[in-house]
Amino acid sequence: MTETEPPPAERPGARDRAKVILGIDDSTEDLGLLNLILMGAGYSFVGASNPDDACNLVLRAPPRLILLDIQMPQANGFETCQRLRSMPEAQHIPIAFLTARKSRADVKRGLEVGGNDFIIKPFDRDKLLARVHHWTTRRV
Amino acid sequence: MPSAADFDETPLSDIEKALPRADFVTFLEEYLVSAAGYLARASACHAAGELAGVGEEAHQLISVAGSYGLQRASELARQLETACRAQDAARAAGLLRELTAAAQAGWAALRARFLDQA
Repeated sequence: MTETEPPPAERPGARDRAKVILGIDDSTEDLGLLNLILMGAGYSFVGASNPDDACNLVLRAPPRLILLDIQMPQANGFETCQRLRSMPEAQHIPIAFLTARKSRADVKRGLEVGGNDFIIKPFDRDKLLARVHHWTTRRV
Repeated sequence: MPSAADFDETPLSDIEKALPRADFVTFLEEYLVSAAGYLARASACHAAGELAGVGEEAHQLISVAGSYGLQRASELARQLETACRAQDAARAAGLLRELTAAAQAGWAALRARFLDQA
């Protein structure tokens, strides 16, 4: 091992590949960047641009973590979170809101509807990966 | 000339290392086209007097610009969204001009750093 290589426990590997992250966002630019960042860190990523697609994906293959945009045209993130939490398949999946706004009211509402975390946009790669690592190593 | 305030290459440098060159170029070319669309739609909404529409496009640009390293444009987009929510048309007009200049400078710097290579 060279000095620049991370220790084995921190290297992305087969264990992390099994950790599927679902991103729900109407911005294709954000989904594209999330895909590259998370795949580059060894995770599997699937993106959905609307709540219907997201719920279908959860039914087919429940992810380890859901990253959920708040401001979307079809249904906002809070409504989508409530819908996901009503599904038995999603009740124990951590949900982190991705948002460009983090007002006190947003946080209160997010927690009320079953969200677990807030990640602020624009997202910083290292902070994003730290939150993803945190939530993919536990269930709620 | 674009300044460091317009564009921070760090977020994309990490991705550049992880992707084959052709895939990275395609990714950025597609990004530049779609990102410019938000600004164009914001300008169109402004010309039509639709402040809510300007605010929606500005909201998207907070992340579409900032997550790709255009921090100044991202901050201006945040201020523009706030001005639109407050129905402050005069402030929104000025911020849209500033945002347009900052985004175009940022995207030019992005192109120069990552795409205009031999």
